[in-house]
Amino acid sequence: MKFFVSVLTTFAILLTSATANAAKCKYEDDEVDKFTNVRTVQSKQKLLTSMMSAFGRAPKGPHAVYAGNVTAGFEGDDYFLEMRILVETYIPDKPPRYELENAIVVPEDSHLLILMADGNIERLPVSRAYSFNSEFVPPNGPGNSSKNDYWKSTEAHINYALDEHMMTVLTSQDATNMRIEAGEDYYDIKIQKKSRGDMAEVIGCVQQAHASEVPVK
Amino acid sequence: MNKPITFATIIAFLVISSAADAASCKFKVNEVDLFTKQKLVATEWYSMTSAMSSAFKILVADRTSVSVAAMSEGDQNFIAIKLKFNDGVYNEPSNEDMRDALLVEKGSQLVIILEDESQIVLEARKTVRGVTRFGDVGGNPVVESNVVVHYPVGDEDIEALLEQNAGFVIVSATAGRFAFLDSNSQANFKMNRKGRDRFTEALTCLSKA
Amino acid sequence: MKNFVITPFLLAAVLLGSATADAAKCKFAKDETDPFTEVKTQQTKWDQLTSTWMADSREIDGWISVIAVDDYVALWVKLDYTVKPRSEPSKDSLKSVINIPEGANLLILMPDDTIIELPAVREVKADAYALAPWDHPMDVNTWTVRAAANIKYAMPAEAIAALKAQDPTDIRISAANRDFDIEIHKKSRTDFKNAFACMDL
Repeated sequence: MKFFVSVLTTFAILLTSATANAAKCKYEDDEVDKFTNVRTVQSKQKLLTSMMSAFGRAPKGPHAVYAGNVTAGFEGDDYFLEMRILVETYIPDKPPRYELENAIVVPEDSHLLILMADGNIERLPVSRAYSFNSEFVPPNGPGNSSKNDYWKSTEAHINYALDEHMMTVLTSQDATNMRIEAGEDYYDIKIQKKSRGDMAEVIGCVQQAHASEVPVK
Repeated sequence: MNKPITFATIIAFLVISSAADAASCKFKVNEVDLFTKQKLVATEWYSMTSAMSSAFKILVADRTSVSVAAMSEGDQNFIAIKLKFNDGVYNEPSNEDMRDALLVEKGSQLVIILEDESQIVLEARKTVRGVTRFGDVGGNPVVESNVVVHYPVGDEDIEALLEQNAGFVIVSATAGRFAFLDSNSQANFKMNRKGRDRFTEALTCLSKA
Repeated sequence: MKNFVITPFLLAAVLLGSATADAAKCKFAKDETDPFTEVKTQQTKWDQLTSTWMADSREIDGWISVIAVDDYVALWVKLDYTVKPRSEPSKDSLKSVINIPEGANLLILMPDDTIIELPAVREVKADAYALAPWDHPMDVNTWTVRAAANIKYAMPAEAIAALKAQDPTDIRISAANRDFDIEIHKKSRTDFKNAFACMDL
């Protein structure tokens, strides 16, 4: 009887710690399509870039990203990694209409390059072609702290397909840098130290959600 | 001689005639690309026009400014030219006019005519559209277009450019309805001493990266 | 005393009678018979599937109307799409915001999880228009982008029977690059049934 009780206790502890880990996972979406019965789950996004960029120490240059977030998810049995980036710049004059159109274009054959801690570079294929427009806010306008300059920004949300093998690879170690291919351009993300395990974490979280039939949100 | 001439070798020959002082070299980029593993180097922009005096005697376009930089990606070197054109207008131009104001197509030429009248012809590596703005300069409505073009340049051409002074630089482009270029669709610059020195400085600094 | 007892029953009988009569009456947008061909055309007025409450903040709104031309029955769905971007949308982004190819399905979800599929009779494309914050009577903080389209779906007999047997809960309008989902407001779930009933279908 005593043995039985201690086995139960151990089991209970194991269960609790598993649940505790699951508790670290946060999701922004878990729903079943009413028509197709396909379940879609998406983890809450995690910020990879340093918040220092918010205080004017943003990286500069044509490949710079002001903020980069990562999230993972699945739709049915198709897993994906989604990168959400914000590219911005201050300019003295109002940008013409045409300049805002198709500011970031991601062709069908593009990849997400991920530099892992051990120096290996992993490549994820993009799910489809994308095209994103820029927005601008005049000086002193909502969200623009500059008194003289226009704030031009482009927000891009890009999905990359994940297969079982790649998920094993990406959850095995930290990632230090990412490059988002966009035709002839590219956007670089330098992952801050404390966020180097985030990509692995969000992938782990959605794998967990997939395994469990219980809704996570 | 299959081994490409490195910048270092060229400089060793020309160090006396070089106008560049190593200490004055400033690099905008000097790193190894984490993903392609290529060494990327780019000098700062060296302005060839100044508000006070014109380093270039400009034959076409009143208010044009030109800057030059040198860059390399792995083994390939480039000469980068930054051009800024202005033109006075009466009204704010249409979106289409702004879009078509300035275009440098892939393969467009950059011709550098040297003192001995030999020519170095370079071609733009890709099509670049000018960044165009409509603004007010001292109460006058003005349209301004900026464009940066990269021209791949081989070792022999660089050698020639460091050996001799450049006399003229001719940039070919396509302009829309603004008076940026001449009737040959070109911007023509006559180099004077300061311009030449800055040109050489850019190329020399690249070798010191 | 006798009078008092009879009257309520009479009253009830009269009320019941008129109620049934009301149920049989449609709000028709069209109800006519062609004097030459004797073809009868009936079309119900637009009936909103969503609640009128908070309609302004809703991205997707829908109305239905049933049309019967002699034996041919079709379902019209009016789709109203509104988004509020923070800055001026590009001209390109306004083109074909609603793009329904010919044959694209309208999916109607029933309470028992069965789905009725109705194909679009013809292609429908609609561009959106944009209203600047200063042009909009109410919303002064954002731009307003709106598009609307009326889409005709074929309605075979089985579909009519299914919609008379159960009250649908949701519809999905399949378009070329996205789906437009509409959750049918409780009170509107009998809209289909009522349309058929009043048209004697």
